[in-house]
Amino acid sequence: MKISSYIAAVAVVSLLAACVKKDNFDPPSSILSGRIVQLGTTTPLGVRANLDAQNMLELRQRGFPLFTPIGVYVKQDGSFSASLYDGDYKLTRASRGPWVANTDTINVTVKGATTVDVPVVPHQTVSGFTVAVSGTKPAYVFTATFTLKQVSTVVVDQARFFIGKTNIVDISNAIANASKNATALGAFTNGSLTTTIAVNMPTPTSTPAFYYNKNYVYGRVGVKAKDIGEYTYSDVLKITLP
Amino acid sequence: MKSIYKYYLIFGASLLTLSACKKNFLDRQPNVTQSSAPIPGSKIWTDKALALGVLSSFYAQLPSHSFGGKSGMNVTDDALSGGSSTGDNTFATYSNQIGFDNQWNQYYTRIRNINLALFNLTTITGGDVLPSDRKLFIAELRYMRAEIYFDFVKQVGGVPIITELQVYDFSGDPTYLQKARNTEAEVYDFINSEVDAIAADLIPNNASKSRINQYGALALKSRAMLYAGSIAQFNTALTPTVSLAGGEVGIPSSKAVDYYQKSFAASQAILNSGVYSLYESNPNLGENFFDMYSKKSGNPEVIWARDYLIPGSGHNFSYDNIARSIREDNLSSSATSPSLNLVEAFEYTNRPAGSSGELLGTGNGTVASQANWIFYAKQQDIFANKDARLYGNIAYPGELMKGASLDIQAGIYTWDGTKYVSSTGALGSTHTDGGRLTGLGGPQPNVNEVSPTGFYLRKLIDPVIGSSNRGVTNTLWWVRYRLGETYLNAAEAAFQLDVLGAPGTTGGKTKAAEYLSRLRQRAGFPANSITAANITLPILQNERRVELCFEDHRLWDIKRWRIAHTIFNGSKTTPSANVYALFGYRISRPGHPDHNKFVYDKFIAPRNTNARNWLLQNYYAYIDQSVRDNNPKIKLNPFQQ
Repeated sequence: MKISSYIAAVAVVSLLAACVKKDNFDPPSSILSGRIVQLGTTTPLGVRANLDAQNMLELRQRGFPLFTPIGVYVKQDGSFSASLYDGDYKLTRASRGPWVANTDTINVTVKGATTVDVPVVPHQTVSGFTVAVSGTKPAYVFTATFTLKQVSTVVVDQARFFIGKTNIVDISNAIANASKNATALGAFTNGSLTTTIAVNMPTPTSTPAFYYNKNYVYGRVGVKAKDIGEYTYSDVLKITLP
Repeated sequence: MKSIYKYYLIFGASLLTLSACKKNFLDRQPNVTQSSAPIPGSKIWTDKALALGVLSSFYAQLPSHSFGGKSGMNVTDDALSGGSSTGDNTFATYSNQIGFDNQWNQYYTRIRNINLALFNLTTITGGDVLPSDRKLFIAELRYMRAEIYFDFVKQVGGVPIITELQVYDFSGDPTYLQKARNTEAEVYDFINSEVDAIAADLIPNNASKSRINQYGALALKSRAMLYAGSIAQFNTALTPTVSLAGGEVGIPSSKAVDYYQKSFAASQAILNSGVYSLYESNPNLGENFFDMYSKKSGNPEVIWARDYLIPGSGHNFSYDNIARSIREDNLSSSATSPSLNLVEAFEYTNRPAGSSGELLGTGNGTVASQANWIFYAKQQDIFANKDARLYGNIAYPGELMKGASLDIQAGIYTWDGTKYVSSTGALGSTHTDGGRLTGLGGPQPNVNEVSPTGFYLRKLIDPVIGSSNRGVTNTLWWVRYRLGETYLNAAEAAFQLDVLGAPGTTGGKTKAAEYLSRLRQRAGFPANSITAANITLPILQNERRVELCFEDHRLWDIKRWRIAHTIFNGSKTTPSANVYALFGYRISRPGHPDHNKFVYDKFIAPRNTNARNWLLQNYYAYIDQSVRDNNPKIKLNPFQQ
């Protein structure tokens, strides 16, 4: 009798222990990282900062009953990383990004630290971005010079020059901006176009004073193709105010 | 040892009982042609009282986007939430979808329930449900199904049209139940054909405003066909990439004229019937507009509304949205704070149509802008000569509401010798000069339950004393269709038919101008304030915005006009993408002629300074992965993949 109750107790405890074990997984430990690059190059593509929320890249894994994607967060410089379990994944690029829609799958095998570059075909790219500052405090005028290159067949809609107060700069995070539409930009020569856009520092009457206590702002240029929602961006430049 | 065997035996026996139970439980056959309700269809549809009960529950489940949710009205530029949490404004950047995803399963559950009821109504006879009752019930159910499909198509685009009762045969293969999406145009055509088929059967309900009648069905057609017409007209021109090759999203532009003609015909049928007329009982034009929405008896304008007469079935909209200074509870207020953008959309009655409604003499909080100030003797003087509908919709400084002062004042400006300096205090505080410092109703930049914009709602707030207390349900109805909208629908369809040059539609602009002028006359504008010569699409769009504000139109209107991504472009420097506030201050400068006068500052509402950023993928809701897991034939919406 005594022995049997020990057996029963051990059985119950081991059952419980087994259950506890089964419900607990180790957290994913492998890191998949990489960049969104222009197809055929190693140049990363600049995107909108909170593009992360849009799940521009999605991972799926076969072998499970439901096919719910894992959203991958992308930084404004086009780099991304995700913590995953080792295994075979399908990586897809969302068609709503500033690139030619392409839902082809990229097969990724994650084992430990894995790096993958995601090639996309942007509609236009921005390069050679420089900024010149003129005027005196506080009436600065910033003039951006940059080169647009036509990559896809979709024509350009507008280019826009943004000024931001932090180094996160895009259409949603800017204190001033100015744009040139397709007509003002003019025709591309051999698929390339160099142009300038000037933007005035916002006047103190319309913007809180703390912008003027700093001696720097940040600038960035974006280009948007016709009927495409997102801009493709340049690097962010720190602009020191004279 | 013997005893151990005994335990084994007992344990084994108990296992057997378990397995037996399980087997019976899993093998039970569901009665697939009955609803999940415990009362079978054969009882319901042979007993008129029960049948009416089931019918009213279908009415209660119809989609509505307003009293149910606190933040639904803050999605556009018409309002900002100042409620109990800042989270109500997180959709300002819209992300992937805005608050209307994941209704797929709910909507198809309702559609299936209606299909089941229709099946039962046609197969079960007898009892005290007469054939004439059956005919009416069938018409009402088919109407409600069309209404659900309309709500569905404006969110998701084309969806599978299921009109028969789908029954699973338990074969393990559900593919025969999985239908692909119909095109967006087919869903609108379905709504049109359903209304045409049942409108005459709804005549027995013509005296009712809460059960759907013939004119309510026509009002659905008037609105749905207008939506279809404008999607056909604008999608190809303004957002060509928002479409699917199979037509599940996007309507060919060639269909625009047909849809507008159908809409116009339905509007004309309502207008020419003589059954409804505009509400014009109160000589005070502002109060008249408020009464138009809130008065239930003798209201000739409301065609169909959701009423809340059953005790306990009401809503708590007043609790969430009452102006802070007159709230009756010790909590809540301001969940929907109307924006200055909307206030400025109301035009001045003494200026030509289409002129700017921008308020005069406002600063922006900086010293330099103080030169722009106009010193107003009374708080409400800044709103003088505005469209009377402003008063009827929005509670602004200097007016009364529910018989009490709104007491809206952000603070005071005192003179320091060279410039005015602002100061603010606690709600309801008094300055040392004996006058008001900060009003009981704020506004304050970022405090829960105080307006962050300087305005409160007047429309939709229940005028009954005590109605804003916690737990007191409001019985103010939710107006689904009213004649004012019919005028606007008729005007827009006539205008667009003229623009598109459809044969036999010349003079459409004259008609459109007549309809709009009629509505504006009620709001205090002179007769014929809009003419065929000066009518434009922006005037039409603005008229619709101000006449129908907070009645769940603005979001759908900017979607179907395909202007949402242009006006909400995500840029902090685009005025239409930002929600502005108007903070009023008293001048405290004893001995000076400007003492106790009022000035106003205008700036982006500090509670949420994110610019609204409407992306092309926001035109249609995302289709949830679970929907595709259940039915792989469902195609995803544009930009979803």
